[in-house]
Amino acid sequence: MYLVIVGAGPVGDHLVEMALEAGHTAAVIEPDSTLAQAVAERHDIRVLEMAIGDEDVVAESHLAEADAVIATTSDDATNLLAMLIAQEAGVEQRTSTVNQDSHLAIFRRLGVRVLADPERLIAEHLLNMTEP
Amino acid sequence: MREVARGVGFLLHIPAVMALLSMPVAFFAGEHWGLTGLGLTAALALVIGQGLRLLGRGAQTFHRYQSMQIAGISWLLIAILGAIPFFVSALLAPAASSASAAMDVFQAPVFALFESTSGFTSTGLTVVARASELPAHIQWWRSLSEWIGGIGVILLLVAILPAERGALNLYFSEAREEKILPTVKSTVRAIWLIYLGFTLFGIGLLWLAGEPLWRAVNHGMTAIATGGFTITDDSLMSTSASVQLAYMPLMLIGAISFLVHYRLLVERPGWRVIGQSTELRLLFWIALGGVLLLWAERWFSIGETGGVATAFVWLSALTTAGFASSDLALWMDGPLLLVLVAVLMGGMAGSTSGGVKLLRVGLLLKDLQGQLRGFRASRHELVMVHYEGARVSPHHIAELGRIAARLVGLFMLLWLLGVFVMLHLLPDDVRLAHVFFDTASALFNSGLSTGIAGPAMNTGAAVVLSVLMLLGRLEIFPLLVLAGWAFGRR
Repeated sequence: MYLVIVGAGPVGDHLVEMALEAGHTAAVIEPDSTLAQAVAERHDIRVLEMAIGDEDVVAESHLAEADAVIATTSDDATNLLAMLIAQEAGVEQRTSTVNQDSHLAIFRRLGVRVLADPERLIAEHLLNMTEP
Repeated sequence: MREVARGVGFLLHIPAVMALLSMPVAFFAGEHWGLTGLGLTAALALVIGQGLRLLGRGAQTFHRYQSMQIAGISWLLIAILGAIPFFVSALLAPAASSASAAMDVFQAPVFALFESTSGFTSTGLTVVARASELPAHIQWWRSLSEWIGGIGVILLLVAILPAERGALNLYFSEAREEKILPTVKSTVRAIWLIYLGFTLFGIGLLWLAGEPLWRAVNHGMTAIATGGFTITDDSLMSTSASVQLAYMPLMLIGAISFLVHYRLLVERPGWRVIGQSTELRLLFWIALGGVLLLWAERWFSIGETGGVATAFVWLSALTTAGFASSDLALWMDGPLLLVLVAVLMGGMAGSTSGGVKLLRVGLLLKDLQGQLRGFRASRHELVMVHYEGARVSPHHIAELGRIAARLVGLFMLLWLLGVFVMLHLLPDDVRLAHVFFDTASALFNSGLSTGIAGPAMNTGAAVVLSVLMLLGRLEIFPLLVLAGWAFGRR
């Protein structure tokens, strides 16, 4: 599978590592130059140092050929834009983290598979692990 | 100035000790007349050395340009002191003996100086026509000078690292650098021991391969130093193929950085870590690929590959050992040019070999790769290149590449200048390819020769080539620093 990953923060970085291990090819879009440099140094992967709203994003990331787009940033606006652009480009699988519960409905209406509030998820997970 | 005097004074004890250690050779070989020259060298070196140390009392720790001055002045002085045994023994050799005939050429001080410079820069060009007839102590002195010159170059890199220190990531990553510098002394001692160990191993190997003991001792020393002096009349041309094979690993050991040897033997990080060294991989592939290429080239030009002897020439050129297994004067220009490429590149930085070093070749290639990838990449894509097992930004490589390119460019300019000067000192009918080859052989401390740099050359050519050998050995900058200082602008 060819994955386009939006954001090279902690989540994106781990996602890249796991995707590569699973044998997928991937491209990462990250506007912050420090984060972009770091992910490029760690993984054998195509890194685009640009914002998702950039004009050339669709062409440079070969979005039309992507099997899936995954948005991992902590900013819902960025994630939403990524999903809209992916939909325009005709990408079948669109997945995103959603950081504010109130935004969940918007993402769902767009046909996006969502992971709501990742931090809350971690908290729940921790609690599950502690209870006997 | 005190610092420089003190450093040079200290280093001048090296030829003194060398000469003292060589006196037993002259004594036991029954060449008592040879003791005079060696004794004179020891005495002069000690007196000057101690004198300079007195001058340098109260010296502070020195800066890098001062260490460069020290290296430049010391190499020059040691070469001059090392010429004394050649000159004095030539004057004192018993008349009408074969030794005196073989030594005749050294009655001209310029040629004695040439031989000594060639030795201490571990180049291997020689003005001796029949080395087998030289008196034993002179044969030994030549081999010893190359051996000491070889370790000298390694220590030059460890102690007075060149500007490319950043490129030596494998050995001096940020943390290691801090750790290794206070312990330079122990590193130096370890490298000495490794060098000595490999030399003994080499002598044993050559002896087992069938070389007579005295020859094994001399050639073992000059092989590990990638020097190239021999005590035979035709280098290794009449040596059998199986014995030539025994020389190959020795030359390669000499051409591998001793910091790699150090890590392998002392720290044992495993082959996988060592194998990530871009420079080491380059050495491996160039050694292998070059042999195949040279075989093919010779097969197309003369209809036969030349077998082991051809492979030997390639390795001898690449490691800049300069042993000759084949008479290069008879080679056509095509294969000769290929060999020249190997001479220019040389072995690894921190080894005993000369040339521009594969470290720089590797950096320039990586820089090129980074640039090509940059052309192909889309506008916002981050391009990376693999270097020393890590993914590195091309900007970083470009910075190192710029420093490498500066030195390589300087080397090439000097080479052209050398050829230009040499053309005025040589007979008109000499082949231009040969002038280029032998000038490069001196500047890049190879020692392979097409016959121009040999017994037949005139005084002027000997002086020019001696200067080139020194410039090449010190990688130019120390002597430039020295010249700059001499003209009063530090």
